[in-house]
Amino acid sequence: MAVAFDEKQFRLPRGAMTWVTWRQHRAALLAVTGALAAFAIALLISGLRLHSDFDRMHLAACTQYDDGICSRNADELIASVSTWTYPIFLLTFMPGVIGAFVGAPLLAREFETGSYRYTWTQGMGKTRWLASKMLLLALAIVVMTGAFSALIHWWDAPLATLESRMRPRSYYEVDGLVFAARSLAAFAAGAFFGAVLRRTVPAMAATLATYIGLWYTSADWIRGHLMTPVGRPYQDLGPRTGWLMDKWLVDSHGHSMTIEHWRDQYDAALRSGANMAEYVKTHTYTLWGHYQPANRFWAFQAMEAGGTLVVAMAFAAATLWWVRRRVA
Amino acid sequence: MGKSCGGGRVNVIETLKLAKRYGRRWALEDCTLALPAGRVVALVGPNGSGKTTLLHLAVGLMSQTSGTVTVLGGSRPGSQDALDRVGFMAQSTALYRNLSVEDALRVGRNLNRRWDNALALERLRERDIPLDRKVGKLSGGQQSQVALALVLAKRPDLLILDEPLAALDPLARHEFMSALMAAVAADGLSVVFSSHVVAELENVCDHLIVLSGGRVQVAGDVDDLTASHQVLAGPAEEAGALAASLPVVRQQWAAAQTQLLVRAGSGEPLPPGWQSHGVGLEELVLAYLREPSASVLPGPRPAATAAAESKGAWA
Repeated sequence: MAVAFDEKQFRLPRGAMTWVTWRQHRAALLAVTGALAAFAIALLISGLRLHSDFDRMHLAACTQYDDGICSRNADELIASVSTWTYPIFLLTFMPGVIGAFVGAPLLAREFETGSYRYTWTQGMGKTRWLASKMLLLALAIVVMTGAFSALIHWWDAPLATLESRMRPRSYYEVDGLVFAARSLAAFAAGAFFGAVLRRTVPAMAATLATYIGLWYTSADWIRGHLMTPVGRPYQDLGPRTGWLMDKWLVDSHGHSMTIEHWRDQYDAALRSGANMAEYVKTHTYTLWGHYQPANRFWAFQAMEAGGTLVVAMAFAAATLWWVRRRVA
Repeated sequence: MGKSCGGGRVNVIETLKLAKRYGRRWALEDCTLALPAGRVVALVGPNGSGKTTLLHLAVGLMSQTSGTVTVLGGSRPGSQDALDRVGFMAQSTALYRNLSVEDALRVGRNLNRRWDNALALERLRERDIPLDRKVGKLSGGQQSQVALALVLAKRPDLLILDEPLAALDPLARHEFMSALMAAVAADGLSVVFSSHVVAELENVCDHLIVLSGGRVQVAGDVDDLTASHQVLAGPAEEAGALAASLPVVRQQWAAAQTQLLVRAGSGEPLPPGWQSHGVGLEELVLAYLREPSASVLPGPRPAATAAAESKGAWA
């Protein structure tokens, strides 16, 4: 039994946690990579065709798309990739899936199987073990989702000259920086709920719910207020100008009113038996629109991703705090 | 059995008024213990008596409600020193079941500064445990042998095992204990293990702690405990008088005969008609467990409390 024991071995092997993390999470990481890779291959094939069609139609040379050959070609190009709308919508759930399948089991499974009693009594200690795992997994998630967003950005380039990248509820959610940032936030939320709830399935559900909440809050509630929108006459606005947020009317005296207010006035005139032909002639209005210009795309992406990263850091810090102080 | 090692100078686990509360229930109360180094300490008590709580506090998996606990002569549980030098084998083994034995070994190697891979491999080879098999696919006995090989590969100075025998059949129990004792003999490490099985302790442990209802009921060296207890048998009508002069742990009646388990050395003079015989460890433990009001707390006291308190051992 007496085996020589080398005292010089008293150090952790190089890349210790990298191997441990990979060995324990490779299934989830490979599944996420596989799903994203399948999407990526389809996008690559479609993107190559999209780019060559765009060149063949000489759409880059067009200055306006209101009518003529440019308009027809643009419509045709957009229609040719309309089948992607639904898959891209599904992709916006991917950060939640990453949070549920990579983040939530991180600690919940340790508690469920009781293996935390083994892991946390080893020489490395639980804080370093958890911090290393979270950091390494976060890195893997950023690389995967970042690369995927880069592919989306390339794919979307022809369409971005016809419609702005600011168009809401679309590629914006998986483009740029927000996709990776939301994936990190969902991952950290998953780790946190796993630590607190100690059971995988409830932690997964809480993670998905949190992600969807984060996504809607960010896209529907906060995004429009990130920068003051620009107002311009509606006739000057096109799909390329940016993200149209609301419309209103300006009368001949320069007074603004909502469309609802105009409709009430019109209805009142109708009921009072006024001469409507005369009414329309004397009451002239211009339609205006508020919009977020297309060139604000990266500023918006950076602000939204930055805010989301703060959420991610808060969840990660709370997880570490909980495991260090509360659990045990 | 490793008694020479450590010389009993350092305490491997020292607690002072240690207490842990879950909600309103106290799992452990007023626990003051000093477990000497170089011993095999058995922590005995029924289910729910606080054994796992005490051990989890000692390895830093839990934090106490009040009191203190240190290991290996002053290290805080969960500190780097304690993590490096204390090996812990949790109840019903806490290994990753979906890893192969080989990968479990590699995880262990990657999570520890102190690691003797050759020792672990030799142990596994000796027991014909296939390295490529998933841990979860091994028999209960083999799983506990893997867990033991992993925890011994840390070359711990203190080995803490929570109910290592509970899930094993008698043969596997025997094999596990002989492997453990061989390791103790080879390395001279200190061992603390909990068990609700009292039967197999006699030849294994040399120090005993009995926990009952979250409190320490008995603590002492096995030799001292067995030497200081006697079973006296004699006529029932004289039992009362005898019981008044000696500390009785437990009294049993059978027809006109009374049996008294008393805390007294064999030198005590006995009234005519009475005879005495020695007591086995199992009988002793069971007697105390059946009489929760009796307790015996002699033995080395923690340095911090030795001066503060020297209360009579008899309660």
